[in-house]
Amino acid sequence: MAKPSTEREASTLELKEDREFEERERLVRRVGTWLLCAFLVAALAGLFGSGPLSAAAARSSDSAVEARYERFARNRATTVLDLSLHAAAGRVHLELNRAFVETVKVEQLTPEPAAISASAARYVYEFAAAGPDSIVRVVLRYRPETLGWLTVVITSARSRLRLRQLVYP
Amino acid sequence: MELIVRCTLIYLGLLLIFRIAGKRALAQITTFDIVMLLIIAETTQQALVHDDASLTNAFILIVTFFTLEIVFSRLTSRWPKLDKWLNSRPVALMRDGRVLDDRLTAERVSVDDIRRAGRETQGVANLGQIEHAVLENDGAISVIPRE
Repeated sequence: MAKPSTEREASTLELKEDREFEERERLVRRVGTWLLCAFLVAALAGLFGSGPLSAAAARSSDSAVEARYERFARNRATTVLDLSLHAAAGRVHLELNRAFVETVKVEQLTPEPAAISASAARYVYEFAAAGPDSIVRVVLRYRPETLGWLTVVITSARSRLRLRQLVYP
Repeated sequence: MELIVRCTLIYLGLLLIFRIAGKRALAQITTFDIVMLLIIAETTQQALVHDDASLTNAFILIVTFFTLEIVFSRLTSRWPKLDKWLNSRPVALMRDGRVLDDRLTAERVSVDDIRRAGRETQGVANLGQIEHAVLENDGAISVIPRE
């Protein structure tokens, strides 16, 4: 018995059918459906920001700078850097690397800094503290305007913290 | 530059998602399908335009989409294999009055969908009056009644 052709004309219907292709297409679609589900699960878990996988915290070796941030951010979407700075005196300085500040759009910095200055490599924000040996909480809301890895270098007094954030398109 | 890349990625992403979703994804055009189409269009538009509503931006986007369409139609007409993968192939759902159940299951089409297409396009009262039914590339069901 002759092996039926995979591409044949149906008897009275002018329709080119390819059973082999149909089978392959179904398989690809099934795999694709699972990939779409996996994408959704990853999104729920926070692989693309705003979720448990994305939430991160770090602190400097002397614990004078603590940061809570998102590992994964999205281009032009707001993300938050929540900092707790140890103030040795009545004032605390926060230094952010210039490359970071200039590749994001700062939407809000809370509390309002008492003074801002800039040097070749960094921006320096000065905040009033409640008193010596107190903690000043600074919240920076910003939108990354770049893609790929974003490096934030946070310096306060002698403490230094380096964070990396992946920015999706 | 970024705008054209963004536009191309959205085009390819939508193409992929719609191919995975299958021919019937938004082909039935129920009220809910229209709402879904509007939501998808609005979401895509926001990702494309963002905060640049300039005429230049709009023209770059439109020209990019048209160019992609032209390029893909040229490629698919040149390479039939690519055409198969990008545009799929029509699938027979009924042949010689016989319902092909495996095709219906694979394409997520019900016998009621064939009946409905028969009523709407050919004024056919029941399944017995249908000779052939084909699921076209665009998700529509063509019905050929018995003579």
